[in-house]
Amino acid sequence: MTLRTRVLLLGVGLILAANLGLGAVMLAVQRQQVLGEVQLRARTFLDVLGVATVGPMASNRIDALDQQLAALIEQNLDALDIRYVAIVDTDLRVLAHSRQSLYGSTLNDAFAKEAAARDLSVVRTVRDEEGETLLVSLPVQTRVPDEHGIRWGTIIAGFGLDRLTSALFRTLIGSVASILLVTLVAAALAAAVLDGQIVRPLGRLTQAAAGLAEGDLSIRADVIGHDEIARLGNTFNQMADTLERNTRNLEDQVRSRTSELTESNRRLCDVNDRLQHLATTDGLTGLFNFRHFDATLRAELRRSARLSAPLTLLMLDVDHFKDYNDHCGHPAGDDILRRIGEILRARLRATDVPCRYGGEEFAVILLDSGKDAGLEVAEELRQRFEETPFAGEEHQPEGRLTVSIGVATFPMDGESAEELLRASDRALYAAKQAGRNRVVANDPGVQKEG
Amino acid sequence: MRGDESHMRFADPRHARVARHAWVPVALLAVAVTSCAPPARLPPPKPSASAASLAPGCLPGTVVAPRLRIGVPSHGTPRTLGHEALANALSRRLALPVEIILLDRYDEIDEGMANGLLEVAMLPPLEYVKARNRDPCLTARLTLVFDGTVLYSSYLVTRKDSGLTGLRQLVGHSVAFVDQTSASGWLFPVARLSELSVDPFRSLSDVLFLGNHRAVIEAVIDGRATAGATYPGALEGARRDGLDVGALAILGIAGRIPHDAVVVRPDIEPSQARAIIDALASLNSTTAEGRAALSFGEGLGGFVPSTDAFYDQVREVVRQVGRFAGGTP
Repeated sequence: MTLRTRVLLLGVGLILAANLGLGAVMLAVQRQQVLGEVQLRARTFLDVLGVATVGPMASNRIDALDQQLAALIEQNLDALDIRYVAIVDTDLRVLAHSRQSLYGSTLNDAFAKEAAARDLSVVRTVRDEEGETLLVSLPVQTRVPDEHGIRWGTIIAGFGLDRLTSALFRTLIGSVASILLVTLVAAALAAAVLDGQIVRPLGRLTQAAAGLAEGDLSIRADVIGHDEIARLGNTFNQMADTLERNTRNLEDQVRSRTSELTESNRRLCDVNDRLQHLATTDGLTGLFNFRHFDATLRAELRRSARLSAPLTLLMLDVDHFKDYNDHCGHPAGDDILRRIGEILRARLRATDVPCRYGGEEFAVILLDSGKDAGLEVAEELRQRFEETPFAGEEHQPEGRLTVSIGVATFPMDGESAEELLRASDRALYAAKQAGRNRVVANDPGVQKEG
Repeated sequence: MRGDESHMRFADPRHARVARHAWVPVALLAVAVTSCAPPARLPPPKPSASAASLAPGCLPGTVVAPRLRIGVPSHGTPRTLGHEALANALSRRLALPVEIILLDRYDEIDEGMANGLLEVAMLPPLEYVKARNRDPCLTARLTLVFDGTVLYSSYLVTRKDSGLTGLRQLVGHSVAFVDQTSASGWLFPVARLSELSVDPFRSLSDVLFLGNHRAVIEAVIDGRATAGATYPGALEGARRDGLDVGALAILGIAGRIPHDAVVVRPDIEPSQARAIIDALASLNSTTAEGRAALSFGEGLGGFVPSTDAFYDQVREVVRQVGRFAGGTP
């Protein structure tokens, strides 16, 4: 339910409630006033009748009573809605009555008895089959002021109130309807003014706030006038200005920080890469180091076992490298080691894992390769070393720089890393013993014996 | 019974026309009535229930009357069965012999009260005021009720064809009155005329004192007087007697006058005085006995308790007329 609807319903409801309440109060008040007026008129009527009848009552001139009563009733019938008038003596015997048939009868109702017992006028309101009736009595008496006198009898009269009440109600309904109509028109005008002055500006402000909430920082409320809502709109716009400015600044800062972070992260990755490289790579030859070799060998053995794939390990050692170092110096020896690394990287597949096992000893893991393939690769490597000229190799015992290679294959030469290393190491030893510059495969029989 | 119909001294038509200067002694009498302060005969009594009806400075009476004599103005009428019925009714109530004494003159009533010859008296209002001035212990105990009221009015009537519409227009015309002691037939009309600056002896062409109300009404109907002072009961009586009252119109109303007062001789013992008053008050027209006992007075319906203050309005009119007469030669 919109604010406009609620305000209208509230206003109309309040107006209706106020009118109904006011009408009820007016009805009650005016009824009391009318009742008081009727009582006053009735008392006056009875006073006049009392003055006119006291003489005839005191002198027992009943015919005069009838004349007086008939004349006064005729004069006041319309004004007072007289239902009946009775003149009774002190024994409540009817001396005159507006209903001729009651002459000579005795009244015995409660009001008549109360009226006869009281020295003052009695007023009561009763409701019977004829409707609401105002009963008024007047003692007919003669006395000197402040003294007791002679009570001749009592006048009792009933006055209808329904006609007056109905007239009053009709008048009041007309008044309330008129007031209601006027107030509703006024309410409609007030609602229109309210709509233009409050609801619509609030709607514009709400729309702007909704746009701002959805992220449109450029949206602003239309501000008209200088009232409270206009001040609210201006405040909202100032808030939006501040929010937009702060958001822009924050975004700039975020972008800047993000850029710095990205750069830092990149550098960190580089460092990590270098660290990873340094952790897994031999610094002299550029090949993987022993730690990487060891971890890779174990992992690949598990994979090969799971896939039932062969894996061959080559153990390579430079022949008489100590002699070379002694003769050519360690820098030259280091250079030889770097050249070996280059030869290995040049020949091997990307999936093969060449490592510097230690000193002048190298190891190569040939994935998915059986013994024959391993022997072939080993032989090719041996030949490339043999054919590659190295500075100062002429001083070697063989006149050239050569390598010996031991070959062991998973799973026939060993199922674990240790077994396979021992097997390849035995084969290398056998190659050394056989004269160096050769490739020797591990002999499973030897392994068994050993 | 009406005071206005009293004073038969002027009932004789030979006394009907009086000279203007007849006003002077009446005025002097009025002045004397109003200026006469009551003598302080007794010290102020202590208030008591029995002394409630006592005038200030008066002691309770001590005389227990062996019989009751009631002085009643005769108004020129003979004794009737009504008088006897009244005496009998009171005698039954009081267990005393009761005698109704008709007196033609008010001074006879005064003398009877003063000399112990009367125990009770009925006095017209003006006579009561004068008697009270003479004896401050004399107090109105009851007021007579006529036609259901303790008050009556004085009318100034004229013929409908007189062309007069107001009392001021009486200047230069003749007016008939009852006599100088009549409340409605002289005193109150004169007071009313004086309020309107109509001097009865300077402004009117003639002043007629005709002795009773019937004569006043007849004079106006006959055209012997342009207007006349009377009261409603007299008009009703004249109508019943066949006079052409319908030819008359009321020119003005003068005051509301208390009916006759009932007084008890001040030296009567209070409880007996109370019993007498109660006995009288118990008689009214609502009972057959009461109607019989009150039949001596036309329209008399009973007696109601009264006070001396109820007659202050009469004293006020007397005071007004006295001041007016003071300027009259």
